[in-house]
Amino acid sequence: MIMKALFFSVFSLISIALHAQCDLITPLKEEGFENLIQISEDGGLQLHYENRRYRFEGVALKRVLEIIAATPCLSNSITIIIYNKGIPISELRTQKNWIDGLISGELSATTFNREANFSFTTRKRPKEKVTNSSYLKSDVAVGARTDYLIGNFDNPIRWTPMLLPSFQSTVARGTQINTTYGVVLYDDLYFWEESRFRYAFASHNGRLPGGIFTRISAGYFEQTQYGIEGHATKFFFGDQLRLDLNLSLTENKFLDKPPTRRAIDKNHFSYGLKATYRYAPLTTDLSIHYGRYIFDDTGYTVLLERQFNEVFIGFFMREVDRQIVGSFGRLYEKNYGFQFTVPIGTKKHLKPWYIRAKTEEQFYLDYNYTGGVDIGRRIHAPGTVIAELEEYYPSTLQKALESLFKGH
Amino acid sequence: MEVPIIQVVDLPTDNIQQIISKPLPNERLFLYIFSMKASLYFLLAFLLLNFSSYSQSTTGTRGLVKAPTARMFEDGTLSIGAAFIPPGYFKKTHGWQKGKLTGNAGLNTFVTVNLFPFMEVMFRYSHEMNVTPSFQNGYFPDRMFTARFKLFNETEKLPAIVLGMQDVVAFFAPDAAGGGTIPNYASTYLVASKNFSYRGFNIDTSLGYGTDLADIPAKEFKGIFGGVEITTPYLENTQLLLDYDATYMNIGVQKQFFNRVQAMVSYYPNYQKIGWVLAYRYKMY
Repeated sequence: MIMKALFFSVFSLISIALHAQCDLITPLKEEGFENLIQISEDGGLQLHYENRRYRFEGVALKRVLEIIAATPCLSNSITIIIYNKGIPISELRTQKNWIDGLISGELSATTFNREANFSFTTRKRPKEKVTNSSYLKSDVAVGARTDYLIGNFDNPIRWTPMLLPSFQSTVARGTQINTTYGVVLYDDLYFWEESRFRYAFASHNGRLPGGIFTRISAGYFEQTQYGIEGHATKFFFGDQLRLDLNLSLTENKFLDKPPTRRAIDKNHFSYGLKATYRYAPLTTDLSIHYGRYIFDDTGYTVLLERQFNEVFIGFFMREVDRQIVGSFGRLYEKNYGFQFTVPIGTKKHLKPWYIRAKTEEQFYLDYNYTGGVDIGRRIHAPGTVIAELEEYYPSTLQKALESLFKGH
Repeated sequence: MEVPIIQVVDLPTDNIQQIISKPLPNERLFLYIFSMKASLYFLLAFLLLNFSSYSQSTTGTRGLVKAPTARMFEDGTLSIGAAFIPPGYFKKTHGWQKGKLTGNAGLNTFVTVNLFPFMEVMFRYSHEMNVTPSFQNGYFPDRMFTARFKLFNETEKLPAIVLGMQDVVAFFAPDAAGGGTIPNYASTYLVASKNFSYRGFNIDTSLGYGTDLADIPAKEFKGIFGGVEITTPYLENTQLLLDYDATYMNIGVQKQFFNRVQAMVSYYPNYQKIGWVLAYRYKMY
C-alpha cells in the first residue's frame, strides 16, 4: 500500500514536471500575448497567439520563438498560429530544434525560413478555452496626420496638422469599434476645417471557408463618408496573388457638423476590384484597382509598392473619368505621386488591459503631383484585419526574421 | 564653426556676376582671403576626423560633389538631407533670367530611397534662398523626381553602369500638373564607375555622358562628366572628391558620423565658394 502510494506520488510529480516544462502559456501571458491556446495534436505542439504588445508582428514572432527556445518542450514538431481580432491569420510550421538553432545563432534566418513552412492558415480556432482573451479590452492612442499642399504661390507649403486621439476595442471575436477624433492644430489649407470626428464605425471581421477574409463595417469614415461598406480578400499561391473586392453605400456628410459641404447625394454606391501581385523576394506589390470611387468618379489606380518591414513606399498613378471635388478650383482627372507609411511611436506597448494607453503605430502621407487629391478615393477602415493583413503575409514574416536575426 | 565661415563667404549681393567682373574692394578682398584660409583650416580639420563615408552629391543622389556616379547605396537605404548651394552656383528657376546663375544661395532638400537593389529614386525640393514665392515674381520652389537604374554591376574587368533620369516627370507624364511641368534640372545620362586600388589608396573613378531626352533638353550634365573619389590608407573612411559636372570643376571632402549622418563640404574653385551637404541615412531592412 505504501509502495503504491509512493509510486503514485512520484508518477504525479514527474507528470507535473513534464507538463510544466512544456508550458508556453505562462511566459507568453506574462509577456502580454493574448488569445493563447496550447494543444497537442498528432504528437506535435500547436500554439495559438495574438499580439497587441509589439508594434510589428515580425518582432512579436521573434519574441515568441525566443520563448519557445527557452522552454524545454518534448514535442519537436511545432505549429504557431497567429491571430488578429480573434481570427486565425497565418501559421508557421517548424521544428523545435530549428527554433533553438535560430535563436542560438547556429542556424541563419534564411535557412530557418527555408526549412520552416509559412502560410496563411486554414485552421479554425480550437474549442479549448483561450487564456488572456483580447476581447473587451480597449486602446486609447494619439496619432498625428497632416493634410498639406505644396505648390501655391502665396504660400509654398499649406498644411493642416492635426492630432488624432482614437479609441479602439475588440468587443467579440472579429468585432471591433473604432473612433477617431481629429483635433485641428492649425489650418491654412482648407480654411474651413475644424476639430471633428474622422472615424466612428463598427466592423465585423471574418474568415470564410476557402480562406476568404471578409469585413463589413457601418458608421462614419474618413473623407466625410457615412454609411456601410464591405470588403472581401482572397489569396492565391500563398501571398503571391491577392484579389480584393470592396463595396460601399455612403452619403457624403459630416458626422457632427451641418452637412454644408455635400459633394454627392445620398446612397452613393461605389465598388472596386483590385488585383495585387507580390514579388516575394523583394516584398513588392504591383496592384491595379478599378472601380467607382466615393466621389462618383470611375477609373483605375496603379500602384507599385515596396514593403520594408513596417515601412511602405509606393508610387501610384490614378486616372478617372471626372473629378467633382477639386483642388483650389482646379479639377484633375489624372494624378501621379508617391505615398509612404512609416512606423511611429514605441516598438513595444503596455500590456493590453481593459483600457490601455498606447502610441499610434503608423504615419501615412501621400504626395500628389498634380494636386488632384480627391480622385480615386476609397473607404478606409483602419485597424481592421484586412487593413493590417500585410504584416501577416508569410513573405513579410520571413523577411522580418531575416532582418531581425541579421548577423546571427 | 561652420556658420561664421558661411556668413563671411556669403557676401550680400544681388548679382554674383557683378562681383566677379569687378575688382574687389580691399575690404571684400580681405574677407575673401580670410574665407579661403578659414575654409582650408576647416577642410583640414574635417579630414582629420576619422569616420567612414559614402558620397551623396549635392543633387541628392549618389555621386561625387555634383556629378553622379554608378554607385548606389544598399537596398532599402533611405536618405534625408539638404545641400547648400552657395551664391553664384544656383540656377534661377523663374523669370526672364531662368536657367542663369543667381546671386542667391540655394537649398536642395531631398529624400532618396534605394527602392530596389537596382533602382534609386529621389524627390527633391529646390529653393532659391532670399526669394519669396509669389504670383508677382512667378517664383515657386522646384520639385522634381529622379530615378536611377543600375544596368550592370561592377565586375573584375567591367565597370558598374547606371542610367540616370533626372527631373523627368515631364517625359513620363507630360500632362502632369495640367501640362505645366517644367523640367528645370532635366538630365538623362549613362555613367560608369570602376574601382582601383593602388598602394592602399582606393580610387573610385566615374565617367558619364548626359544628353537630351526626346524633346526635353538636358539642363545639367550635358556632355561628358566624371570624377574620382579617393580614400587614403592614412585617413580611413574619408573621401576626397573631385569632379567635373560637364560645366565646372568641384572639390569636396566628406565624412560619416555615427554610421548614420553624412556631411560633405564642397568647394567651388570657379566662384571660390563653399557649400555643404548634410544627410541622415537609415537602413529600412
